[in-house]
Amino acid sequence: MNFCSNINRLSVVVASLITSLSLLAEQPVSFKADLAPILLNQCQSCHGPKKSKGGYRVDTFERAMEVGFDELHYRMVTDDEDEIMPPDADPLPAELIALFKRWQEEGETFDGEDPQASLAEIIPGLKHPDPPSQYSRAIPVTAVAFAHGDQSILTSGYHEMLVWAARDGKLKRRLSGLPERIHSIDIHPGGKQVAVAGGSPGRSGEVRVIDLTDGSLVQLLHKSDDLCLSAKFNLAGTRLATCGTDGSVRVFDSETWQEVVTFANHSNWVNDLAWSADGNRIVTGSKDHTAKVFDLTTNSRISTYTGHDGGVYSVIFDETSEHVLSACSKGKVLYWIAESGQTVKELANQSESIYQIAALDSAEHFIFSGAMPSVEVIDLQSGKTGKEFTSTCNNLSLAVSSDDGRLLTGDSQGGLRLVDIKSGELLTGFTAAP
Amino acid sequence: MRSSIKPFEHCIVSQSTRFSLIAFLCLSAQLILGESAQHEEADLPITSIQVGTPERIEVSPSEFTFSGPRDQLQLVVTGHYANGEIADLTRAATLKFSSLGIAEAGERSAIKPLADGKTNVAVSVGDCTTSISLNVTNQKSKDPVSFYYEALPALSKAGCAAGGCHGAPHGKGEFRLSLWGFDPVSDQHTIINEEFGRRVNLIEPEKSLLLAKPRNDVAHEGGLRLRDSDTEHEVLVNWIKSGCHVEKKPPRCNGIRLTPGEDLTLKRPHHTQQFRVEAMFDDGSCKDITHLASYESSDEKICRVSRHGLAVGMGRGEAAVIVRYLEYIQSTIVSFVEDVPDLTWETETPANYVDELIYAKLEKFKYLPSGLSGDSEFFRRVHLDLTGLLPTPVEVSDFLASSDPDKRSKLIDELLETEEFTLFWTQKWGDVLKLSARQMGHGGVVKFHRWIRESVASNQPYDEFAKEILLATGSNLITPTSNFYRSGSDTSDIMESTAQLFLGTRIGCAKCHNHPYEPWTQDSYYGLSAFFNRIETRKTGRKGETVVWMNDEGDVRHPATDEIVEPWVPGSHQLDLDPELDRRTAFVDWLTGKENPFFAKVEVNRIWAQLMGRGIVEPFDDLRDTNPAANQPLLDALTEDFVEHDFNRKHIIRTIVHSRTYQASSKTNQWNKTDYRYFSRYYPRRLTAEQLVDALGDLTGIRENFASVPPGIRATQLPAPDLKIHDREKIGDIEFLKVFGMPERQTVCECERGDDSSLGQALELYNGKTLHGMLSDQNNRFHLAHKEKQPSEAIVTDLYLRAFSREPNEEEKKIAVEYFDSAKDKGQALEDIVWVAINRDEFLFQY
Repeated sequence: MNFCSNINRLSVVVASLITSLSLLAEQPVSFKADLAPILLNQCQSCHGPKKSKGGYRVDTFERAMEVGFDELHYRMVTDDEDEIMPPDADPLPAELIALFKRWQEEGETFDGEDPQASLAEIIPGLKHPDPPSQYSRAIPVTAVAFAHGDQSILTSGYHEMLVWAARDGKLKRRLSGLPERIHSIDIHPGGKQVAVAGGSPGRSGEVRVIDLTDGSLVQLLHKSDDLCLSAKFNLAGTRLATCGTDGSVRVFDSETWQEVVTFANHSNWVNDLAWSADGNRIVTGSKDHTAKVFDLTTNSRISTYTGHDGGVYSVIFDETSEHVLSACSKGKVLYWIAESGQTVKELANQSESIYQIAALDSAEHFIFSGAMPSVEVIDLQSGKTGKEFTSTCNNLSLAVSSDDGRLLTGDSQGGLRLVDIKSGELLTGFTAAP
Repeated sequence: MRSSIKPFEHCIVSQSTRFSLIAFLCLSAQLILGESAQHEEADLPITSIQVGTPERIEVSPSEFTFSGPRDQLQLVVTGHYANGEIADLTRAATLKFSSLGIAEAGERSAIKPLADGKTNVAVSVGDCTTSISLNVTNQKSKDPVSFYYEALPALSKAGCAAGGCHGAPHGKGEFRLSLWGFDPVSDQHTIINEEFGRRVNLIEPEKSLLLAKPRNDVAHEGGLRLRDSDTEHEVLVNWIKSGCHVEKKPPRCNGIRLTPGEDLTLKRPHHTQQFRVEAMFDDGSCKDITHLASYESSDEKICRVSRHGLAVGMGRGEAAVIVRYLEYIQSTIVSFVEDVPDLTWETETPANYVDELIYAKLEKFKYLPSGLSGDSEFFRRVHLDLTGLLPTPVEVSDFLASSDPDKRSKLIDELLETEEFTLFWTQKWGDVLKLSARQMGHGGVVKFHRWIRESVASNQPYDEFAKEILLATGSNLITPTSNFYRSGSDTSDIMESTAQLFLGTRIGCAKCHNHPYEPWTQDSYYGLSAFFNRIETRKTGRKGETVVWMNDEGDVRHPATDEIVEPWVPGSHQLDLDPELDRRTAFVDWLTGKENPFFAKVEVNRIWAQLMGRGIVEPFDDLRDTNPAANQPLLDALTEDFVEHDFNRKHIIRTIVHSRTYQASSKTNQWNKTDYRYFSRYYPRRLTAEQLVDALGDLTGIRENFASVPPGIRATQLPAPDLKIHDREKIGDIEFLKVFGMPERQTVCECERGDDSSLGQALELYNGKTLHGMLSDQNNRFHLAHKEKQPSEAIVTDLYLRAFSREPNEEEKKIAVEYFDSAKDKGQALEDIVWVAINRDEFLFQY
């Protein structure tokens, strides 16, 4: 009984991935839309880029075909307990296996663009569900930004981005059609477009560029099988750099959206990235405990910084772009030379993770927040703590207004606080949930 | 090629070797699954209950109060029969509530509350009825799901926090939980906050990664661990729905109680038992947590336990049902017996208490012991066990010819006094005391080895043996036993070795967290460490010399509290420590005291395992409640005998070897084929690496010469595997020894000695360097005999006496002689005949 109900549930889940499976029964089976999601969800954790058990990988069409249809099919239907896939789980529902069979009978055609592209990239863009009209609970605010000449505040929502009035914290707009979670919000210098990085943990990741006026989709980029964590435009607005849990850093032309270059030098999630003022360099911070500087004129890596003993959550260049400030899960902020990766000094040593770091006053000061109940301002030269703003719980996100006058933080319990940096006065504080 | 020659038709090359390889693979597969195996009742052989005519039934508990909407109650209904038997009738009971709408009954007589009120429940099975009273309160409570007492146990029950999964020291897939939820603070952070809260979805809890992964909705390397119909799933969904609420000051759980709690015997067809588990809290409350506890069995071949706490017998024998909730663990030993029709109980006359106790246990489980071994079987076996070597043809013939009724006893006494016995049993101690040149230096090993040899030869009482080792002080070249303190990397390593060797406990787990299967806690670990913490070792200017002494200061600090930990021993012992004295003295006094529950027991069990191939408790240095002995009364009796005889080790060896149990045949009979742990026969085992090398040397007359030791030393007498003088080779560099599992002596665990089978072994036996060298040597026994023109029949007889301690039968003789006579190359033919003998199980195994 248990077993049956599970099969039913599994098929419901898979069927929901496959757009209207039964309705399209007469149409040919699509590899990218019908089969790729199954391979991605059922096989890739053991037979993908991270692990290739038994020497098999099925994370691209080409690799799956190296394994071959017969082998794939055999592994789904065999009675041999040692051979059947997925191991340690119920067999795939018969209707899914039938889908594979039908695809083969129809000629094993590949309907994607690039047979070497990852499965996550070829699966057609998912239409995100509508956000709930009212949240049953506040959710962590993982990304915040100022917009409309600092008049508006943008925050991460659930399958949406929320636009609030900075003055009184009134909800002005809800931009839906976005991924479940948003980890980064960056507004194009022109002010019209916004890049949103996010996804659904363990399931999908993407970067969406949307029109800020009407929320319409401009471009969908960097699709992967787990969260995208950051996407930022250069100061000139000509390029967009993206990064995420797949460990890659990608740079796109913001006119044509052609991919300019991909760096795959990190061995773990890339949490954050930042542009140099001239747009020639980017710095990246990764869970692999390193930060790296890349040169976009030569498309090569300049340096790897190894001074952190924890995952690097946040990176920024200083005013000259000759130095980098990076913050990590072990509570350190380190100041180092971009060219050589040599440490200049340690600027903070907290006991908790630091998630975000931002420059102030033309980078004479910087400000950081993290898994401690206060936000601190530190003088870059002296290393002394200037101001502290206390708050209630972990601050996951942080932004500074363009006039450097106001500080915006979002916390793990959905709280949002807008503070006047000079006076320390709390201008607005509210829970960022509709 | 040798493989084309099959002179003996019934020669089965290494079939047992192959068999044990398969068995080993199955076992390891079971170990991997075992830890998180959650049995669904549908997968277990459960038949409907045959109620019969019980005289009365008993229902536990007789009254119960539900104090929240998520409380549950598992009833346990026991039937008592006229013949004194009992049976679990829980699944057969019907429940009638006197007031409706207060509570409802589900499967397995589990009761869920519905609304506040009181009701009686009439529990009926057959013609018997008993009534219990229920009080249902607090049903409108909005108390959120408890993180500590519901959510964390659910993660343990689903297997997430198991040692092989996310409970591993570094977790799995970058998701790390504390083992069985021992560290709630860390788990709270990991689950709720880590990586920006990616594991929980507060708006759509079912979609949380924490649940989608084990449901296998999202690719999960650990496979399917949770179904959405499971209680654990419901608990976790509701917990996330509550906003991942973590109680600020929860009541403390003081322990758990298992019902039935006493060891019990179940007789087919009544081979199932429903358990109930309660948790007691320091606010006086008590909750039924049967649905949240995790269940395991110590032996899946005998008993399996469903995820709902229903133990199901799989075969005859006993197993511990182990229940885990938070850091608490409880176990009950359940015996499964059944009638075996046609079996007439008949055994040898017991030689001593060993046989009496073994036969009693065998009769309980209806495993008829095999008859007495034949003389040659016994002769070969006892030589290998006591001296490590094969007997010579003359010895064999004399023994077989002797008609002395006491010849076995006399032989045992003789062998116990031989130099070979001393050296072979010294080597066994060398294994577990980690004698190796790498740790102790050449001089240290030689001295320590000599000391052990003298101890074995003089049959030094075991308590003195332990004392001398543990209290060693001074130069390792003058006090040989101080080399013990060089066998570990630090004093906690030494303490762990000591605990495993002399207390039979693997306390290492408790260094970082409470032991998952034993009452040992981190406090125990550091309390014991405090005895050894002040030991210092320093190298002197003299080559290979290290001095061990006791500092008069230095304390152990608890890693969690950073407080100084006082020396501590198990039990209610209050230690009166003389600050002037070496702290070890207090420990050793306690250790070697006659009332110490572990010390003597581990040693008799170790001796038993060395003679019988398997401990009464197995692994033999892993004594704990959750690892039941195959025969507890025997273990107790041997322990008592050992203590009474002032820790006389030879006395115990003699007692065991004298028993009919030891001397039983290794052949199975119709009634004991499936027994593998109650000693209904002698269990065959492969010769050890060293025994094989010596046996091959004796068989062929070409003995292996070892570098770095005096000539004439046999493999079973080597002091250490890595002795190396100057530029000579290391002993252990002989491939054959390595392939057959000679331990490198890096751990105190006897398990380091490999007894598994491998392809490498098959190749060594097929045409390996060692074997080939001995066979093709023109001066080997058989080539020489041939050159001396001995008749082929005599050569074959000599071969059989040496290899198998018996003469060949007519057919064997005929096949061999015919093969020899018809061969062109006689030398090659002889080599073939010897090769075939070597590759027979009868040679490779001790049986």
